[in-house]
Amino acid sequence: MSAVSEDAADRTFIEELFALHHAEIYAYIFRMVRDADVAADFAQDTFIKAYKAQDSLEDRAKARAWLYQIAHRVVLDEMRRRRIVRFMPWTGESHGAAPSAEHLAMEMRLSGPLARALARIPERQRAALLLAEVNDLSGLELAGTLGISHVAARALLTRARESLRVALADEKRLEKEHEAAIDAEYAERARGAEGHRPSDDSRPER
Amino acid sequence: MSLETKRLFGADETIHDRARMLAAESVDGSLAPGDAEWLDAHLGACPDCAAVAEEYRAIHLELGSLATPEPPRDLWARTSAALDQIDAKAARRSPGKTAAARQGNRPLVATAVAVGCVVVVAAASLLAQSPVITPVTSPARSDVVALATPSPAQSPEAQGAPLAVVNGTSYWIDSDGGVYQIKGGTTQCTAADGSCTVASGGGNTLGSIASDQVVSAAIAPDASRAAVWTTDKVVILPLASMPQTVSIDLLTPKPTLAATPTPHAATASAGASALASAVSPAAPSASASTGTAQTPTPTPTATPIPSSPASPTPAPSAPAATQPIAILSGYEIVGRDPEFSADGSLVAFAARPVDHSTGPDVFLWRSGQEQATRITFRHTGLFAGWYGGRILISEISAGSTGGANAARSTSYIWEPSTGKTLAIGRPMLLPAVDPTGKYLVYWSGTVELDPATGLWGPASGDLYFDSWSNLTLTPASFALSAAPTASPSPSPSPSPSPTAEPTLSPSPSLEPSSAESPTAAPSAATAAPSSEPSAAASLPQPAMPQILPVAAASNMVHRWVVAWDSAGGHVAVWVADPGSSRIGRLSLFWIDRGSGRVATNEPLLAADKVLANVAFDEDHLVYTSAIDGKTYMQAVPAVPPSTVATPAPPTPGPTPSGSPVPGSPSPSALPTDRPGN
Repeated sequence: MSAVSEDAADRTFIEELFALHHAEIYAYIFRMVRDADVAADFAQDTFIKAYKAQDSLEDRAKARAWLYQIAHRVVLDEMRRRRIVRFMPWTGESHGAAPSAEHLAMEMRLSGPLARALARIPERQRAALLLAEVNDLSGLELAGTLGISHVAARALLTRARESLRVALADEKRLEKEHEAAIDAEYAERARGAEGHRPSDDSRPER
Repeated sequence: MSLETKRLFGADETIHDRARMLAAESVDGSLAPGDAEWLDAHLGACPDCAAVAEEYRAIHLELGSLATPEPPRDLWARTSAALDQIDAKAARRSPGKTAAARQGNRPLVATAVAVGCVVVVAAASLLAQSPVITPVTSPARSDVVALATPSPAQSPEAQGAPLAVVNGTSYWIDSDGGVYQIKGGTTQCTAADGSCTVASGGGNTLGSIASDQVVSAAIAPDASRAAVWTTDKVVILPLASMPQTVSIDLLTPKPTLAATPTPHAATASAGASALASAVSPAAPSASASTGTAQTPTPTPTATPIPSSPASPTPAPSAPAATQPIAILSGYEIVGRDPEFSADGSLVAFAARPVDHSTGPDVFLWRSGQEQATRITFRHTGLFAGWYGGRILISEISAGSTGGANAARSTSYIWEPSTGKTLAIGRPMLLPAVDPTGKYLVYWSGTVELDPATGLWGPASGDLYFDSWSNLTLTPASFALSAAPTASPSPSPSPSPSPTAEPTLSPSPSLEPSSAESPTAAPSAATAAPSSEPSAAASLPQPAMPQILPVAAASNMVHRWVVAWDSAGGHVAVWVADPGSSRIGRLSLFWIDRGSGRVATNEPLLAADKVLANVAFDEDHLVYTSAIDGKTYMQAVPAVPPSTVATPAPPTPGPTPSGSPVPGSPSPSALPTDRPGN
């Protein structure tokens, strides 16, 4: 194949990959970084890196897992880098860290406690969970994406599920305590109001 | 408990552990038949494990129903344009064989310097204490050398990620499977062409950290220790050869710092000791502070504070310097990264609880202490940087009248050794002071509350170059005062309405009034100047604030980075492109210290598509292209080109006087009609 046609094939291949997988790659990155701008930047980086490194893809049938692997590395590396670099620009938020759990829940249609719990677990575990549970990667694809053995990937996934379960239970407990505190406050107010206006026993709207 | 009972208990526990592990694995139906049967039998007999299994299934179902976020419509256009540039560059280098050329863009150094990480944690601190660097006289031209190109084929865990390139030594982090190693090596620069190469390869391991979370670090100026942080913890880690691996996730502060801040009444004169007690559970919890702390001894205004090292007093019970210390837990870093003071004895940063129940406050750790101590209490504090031994703090606070227009940004100087606070009599956000303490660059404009993050941030504004002599400093007492409404706020949910965010109410006494600061201008919150104020008309001494023409249009600076060279002769400013958080335009200016003005019409470098990681190392400006991922060290000319004996020929077109960077940020993309020109 001539150099020109080889290049054209390279370019065509990456365009096909983009058409097939950009939505899921973007979605994975977005769920990891929880910032639309950053996710777009990282998704772009992913395909640029894929274009530069096509020679590293030995089997094009495995392109999807290979793309996820690049995206995963971009995410973790960039998130690490953003924290490492000293001169962070003012972003009005902690780097790479999250919008509020409520915002995340809205964006992702998660319950508030689950969104908060998901945000609490370690990033590698979160990545494994999202890749397996949301992006439907197979066990082998997950292992390839994370750059670890199949057994290690399963163990990581199990740890992630347990971490999330514990974190979720904690979040639900906190939410109950919070609601109880609010109820107590309203009850206290209601008692105070009764002292002044015995007829008014309405409960303030929540 | 009998031995038999212990055995039974242990065996029983193992069975339940196995059941739960299999239950976790079973949610995606991947159990072997034998395991599945065993699990079913166990769950039938063990209600607790059955409940756990049900929780796993519920989580699995909820995660599976997640909505899919839509990628931006221009994602392909952006990506395609970047691919075009790669092809074009490859074609220039190796006509007819772009793919081969593309593959040739592989690391020049074995351990690729991760993009943009040559800039650094320790750099600024070191710069602040470095002797004045004699600028290189020969390279009036811009010498740029590619240091490294990251390769996606290379495991990121194998990539060095320099924390600092300082005085011939670079520091970076390698990570592998959740173990992060802080390493040090040498940087070699050849005097002939001003080019440098960041050391790579093995390096010496100085710190080793194990964590399931992403680990970041800032190196002390003397590289004796690092401030290391994850998403919910900050640790001080001693650096030494042959370190033991520290499991940072297991470290906890002693004693544990409560996540819920407790307001304390104290006078500023109580100073550091009051601060130390403010977060100590052993200290009597001060009751309801009303935020009426008294102001410290008046300090003359309009007097630049000379840079001076802090003089911390280590506590008698200082822990061994060889042990890592978790100084804060349950908090996430907000805004700038933690930074050591110039003498390395203090670390300052802003953080907020991980549950976002309050806004950020500024924390300070002193050598010898086991915890970071909170130095602001209104949940609006942002760490702006060090000013000698003092800390610059910014706050964005809602006015009492409510509404976004009433919000304002105010900055303070806080003296760690005395607790004295001076309010800067000009509304500004995140001032950055040059190493000589004479000039500063700050942001001024309108601010807004981002409901997504619950944090205030810049809405519309510009960066200004100013002289300290223009500013009025007014004694204030913000540091030790608590917000009047800082009682535990039950709602972690931020509100877009400033009036509904109780922790943002400012203490009225801290608002620098115009009467106190007659020279104060611009008025930041609502009346940011839209053009350079009478720069050419009168050139008053001292210089008036100058708008730095660093963005594509005025009032478009939302995210930025400011870096000074050690002599205070140059300032580099990176400003994010609209819609991007990490790619932007880098401008380098010469400062005429005689007139106290920046040569804004003659930038020494203007490059687009640069990552935010910008810093000076000696007489080089270090930055990274977002296009090719390469890191460049560009020699900074001793004097601006127009003043040298053999000036560089005027560069036509959009590129200012700096030489274009080979194969990277496209200076040609710069418009010529930039504001201020």
